[in-house]
Amino acid sequence: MIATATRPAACSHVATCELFPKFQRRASLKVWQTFYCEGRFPNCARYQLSLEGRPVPPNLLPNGRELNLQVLGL
Amino acid sequence: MTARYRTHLELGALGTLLGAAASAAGFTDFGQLHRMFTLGESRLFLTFTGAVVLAGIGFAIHCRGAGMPRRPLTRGTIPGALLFGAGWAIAGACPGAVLAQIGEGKLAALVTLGALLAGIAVGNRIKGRAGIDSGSCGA
Amino acid sequence: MSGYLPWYAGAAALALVAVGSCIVARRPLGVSGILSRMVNLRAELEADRARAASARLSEAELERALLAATLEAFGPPPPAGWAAAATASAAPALGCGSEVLLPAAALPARGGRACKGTCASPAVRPSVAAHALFLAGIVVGGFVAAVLRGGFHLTLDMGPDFGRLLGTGGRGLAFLALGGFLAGMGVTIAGGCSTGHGLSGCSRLQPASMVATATFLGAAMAVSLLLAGRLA
Repeated sequence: MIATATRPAACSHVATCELFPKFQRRASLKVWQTFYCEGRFPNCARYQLSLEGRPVPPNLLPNGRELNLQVLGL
Repeated sequence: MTARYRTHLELGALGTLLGAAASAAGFTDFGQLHRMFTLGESRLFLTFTGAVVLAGIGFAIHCRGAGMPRRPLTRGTIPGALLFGAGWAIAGACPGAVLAQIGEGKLAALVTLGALLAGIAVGNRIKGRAGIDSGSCGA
Repeated sequence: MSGYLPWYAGAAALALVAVGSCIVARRPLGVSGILSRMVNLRAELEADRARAASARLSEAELERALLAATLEAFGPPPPAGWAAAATASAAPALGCGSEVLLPAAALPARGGRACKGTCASPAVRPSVAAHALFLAGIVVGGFVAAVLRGGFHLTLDMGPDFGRLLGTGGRGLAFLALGGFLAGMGVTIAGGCSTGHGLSGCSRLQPASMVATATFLGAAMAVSLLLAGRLA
């Protein structure tokens, strides 16, 4: 069993964030977590939207880009 | 039944139970609330405290000490609570109770609801400008 | 006593709903958050649509999109893989093509293990429609309870105490609007209401909720005493 990150995340939203679990699936995606969730979470586009009580699109990445589903031809 | 409709059913049932419980207990009655807040009558206060204690026991048994996502204590917690408490005392306006009041036929509660929604919109603006954490990215 | 439940019955009913919410619906009971979704309705519906679209993706497709986005945002991973470069912790050094899938785990709550099977596990976000049904349910519940105790009346009246303290007619409505507005602002800024912070939060001994509950009860008492004092 490979351990998940033992460092506590700094962003208070990790337990309910729709994107956070997706970063945990692959080691190469953890860079998002390290950079944003455990680090500069105030810069996260999702966090910023939530401050205004606005709905957070499920595919909004922390850097403000939307996940490009066109890559998959969708 | 698909999973999609299961959620609708669950939430519909949950809401109904909540509304019924709140109404049956008297949280929709301004007089009852006022008597609780002025320490004139203990029934509603005991109801609330009892509910917290019983739910606490229920959670303790079910979860056996395991945790739940933490709501953060923010700069907005106390100011927001002060505003909410004031509004609750003036209009008997706790969000759940307002909806139950409408169900009871208290049409004036529609005004309360409208104002509640307006207050939420303004509150969101204030929260955004002040950078107050809401605790989650959504409901 | 005007047909309302004795305190222990009311307490049991509310506690049942609170615990039931976590066990059956797997989300903590709260009203203000759900109500505030209705304020940004258009954006919420759009987010719902996006959610439905990505739900149709397979795990592999989603990962592909995520990896593409990662590449775009951070550039190609260093030779030993991001896992080694970015985290100092347990993950082994991995090459780009040989990385291992980490097991999907229920997210641990801060400071402890997660309570599986209740609201600590991230559930799929309900749609606006489902949440609207929740709110409609509360209305229906109020109707049912009122009918059962013979108290259902279509009226603009909020009771004798309200009329006495705050007024009737237009004046009363103005106070309802004021109270509603303050409450709406308050629940948003505080991040919860009497159900969310008061019932759910306090029963789980959440510090923020206990502070919030003590504060809003205190404020409600102060304002009520003030209102009552005007007539004394």
